[in-house]
Amino acid sequence: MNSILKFFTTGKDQVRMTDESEINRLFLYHRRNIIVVITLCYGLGYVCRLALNVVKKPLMDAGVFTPEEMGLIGSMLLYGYALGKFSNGFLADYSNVKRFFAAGLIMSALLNFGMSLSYVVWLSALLWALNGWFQGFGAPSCVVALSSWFSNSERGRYYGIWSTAHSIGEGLTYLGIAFLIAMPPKGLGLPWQFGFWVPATICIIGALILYRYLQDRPQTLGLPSIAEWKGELTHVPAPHNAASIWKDQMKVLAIPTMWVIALASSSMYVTRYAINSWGNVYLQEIRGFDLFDANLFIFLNTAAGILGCVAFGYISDKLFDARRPPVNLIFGLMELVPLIVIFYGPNNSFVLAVALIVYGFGLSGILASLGGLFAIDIAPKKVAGAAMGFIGIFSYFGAGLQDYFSGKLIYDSEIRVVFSVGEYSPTVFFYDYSAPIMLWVGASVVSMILAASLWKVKASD
Amino acid sequence: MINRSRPIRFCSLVLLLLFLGACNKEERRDYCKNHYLFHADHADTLARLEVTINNEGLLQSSLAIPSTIFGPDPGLAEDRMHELALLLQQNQSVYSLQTERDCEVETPEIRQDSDGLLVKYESRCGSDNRLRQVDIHLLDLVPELEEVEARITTDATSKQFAISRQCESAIFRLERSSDN
Repeated sequence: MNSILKFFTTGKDQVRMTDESEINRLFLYHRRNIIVVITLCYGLGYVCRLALNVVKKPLMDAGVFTPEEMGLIGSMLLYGYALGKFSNGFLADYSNVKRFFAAGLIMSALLNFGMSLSYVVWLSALLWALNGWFQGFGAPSCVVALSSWFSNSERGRYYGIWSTAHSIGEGLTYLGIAFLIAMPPKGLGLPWQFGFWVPATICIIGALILYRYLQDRPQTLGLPSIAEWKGELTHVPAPHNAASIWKDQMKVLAIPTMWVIALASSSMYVTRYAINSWGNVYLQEIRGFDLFDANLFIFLNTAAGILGCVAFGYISDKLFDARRPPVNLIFGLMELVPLIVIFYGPNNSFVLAVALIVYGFGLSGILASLGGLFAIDIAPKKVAGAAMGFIGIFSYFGAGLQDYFSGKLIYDSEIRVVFSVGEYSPTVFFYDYSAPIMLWVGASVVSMILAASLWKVKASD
Repeated sequence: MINRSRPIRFCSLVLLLLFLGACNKEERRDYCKNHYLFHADHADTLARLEVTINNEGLLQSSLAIPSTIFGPDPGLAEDRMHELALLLQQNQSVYSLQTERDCEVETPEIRQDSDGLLVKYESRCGSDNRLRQVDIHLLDLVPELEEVEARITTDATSKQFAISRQCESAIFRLERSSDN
């Protein structure tokens, strides 16, 4: 046990190098590698997280799992991820992130492989919950790497570059994995198991890249700290007082506004994950698109999300003097109106594509606010991490509950048409999405009302 | 003396059978995967089934079986259709419903002419009587039928597909063009 812990613990500081040119060369070399590999590999890791969403319909059509069981399995990843993000955040601070992140990806790959073999609902739910927990190794490791190798003055830019990893991952999944499973000529028509095997292989390749190119803290290589190297060391950091930090963290829970934001974010995550998890199944089942086109539509909303995040920050800072509530309302409406068009609007592919793009833009903006920015504005700054963790747990539990209840509501409407053909019994399933759609749209309305109720709230210093 | 070649022969035979079995399965899979390439060419010789199910628990269906599936001889085909029409008239329904309570089933309306057989069914289950499953025995009832093209419509959606004796699952892609 000790040797395992030692393997994952951050290395000891090495004797400082004296050759300035060698220090500069190593910093430039590793920083370039690190930003590339954390962006690339976090994106590759996403494929192992989203694989189930793409193969959901083939699994339902093959009669392997019912929608209710699919919802239960999908929700387990979100619960696992909520817990993982919280616990692994603490662990990553003490870890050699190259080993920690790589191990997370390898475990995630193995669990994806396991999913391809499991036809038992409780086993799949367990595997997928563990996958959620191991997926939670990624973000904290990347954040630790960013803070170790990039200084305060440049971290925002590099954080922005790293954030594009979500779209890389979603793009790879909703286009790449969908291409493997979709029927020809749009796809290769491979069995659904490939929807787990290929992500598993991608994650193992990602882990190897990380192990080769990601680095522990600069000091473990005999380099100075990043602040020292960049000449930004203004003071010696005060020693951490664990007791006072804990007290301040508890204060977050005593801020009523924080609870309202947590509930608003949780409601918004219901809609976000409903579209990510069930959107492509809805488009195939009810709107009649094939697997490839349905996933392409979902990709449009995630791609528009990159712009939404950036636009929200820019608009609220520049046009509203860093006041989030008015922009929350604007982006909330930009999310809700297209959502209504998607489900109740005309049955037209162009309208659907435009609605999904505007929805993705609006949703990502309001998520950037409710899922973090607004909470950080209000929380005491030295416990911003705790505020994020609090909102995060609420959000992912909301998303997890949604996944289960959506699956249950969809399953309750199921009509099976079974043809008996000698040795075969080809079965075609029919579902009605009216009830889950009301849940998804209703959650967005609740979120917008809760966010609007904080109209007069101002940021704390 | 022990005949050492016997186990080798046996193993070879098993391997050969497995190989032939695998080839046969592979051939069937290709047939189902590429079905859309030739579906339009044999569409005239298929039975067509249209089913509408609404939230009020009303199920209406119409089944058209072309006479061509019963062979080239018009006389024999007519006899076979007549036989089938009698079978269907005697309450041998092509489908059965799994609901919480029994449904009210109308007498089927059967019409026979030289083109084939047209059968219309109607079942009233009621809006509070949850319909979970529709079992369709058409291909068991009509052994001459190789394939049926079905369109099933509910209040939420509509699906068109083909069911073939050769394929384990429904075939949703029926046309060459990449439409939905």
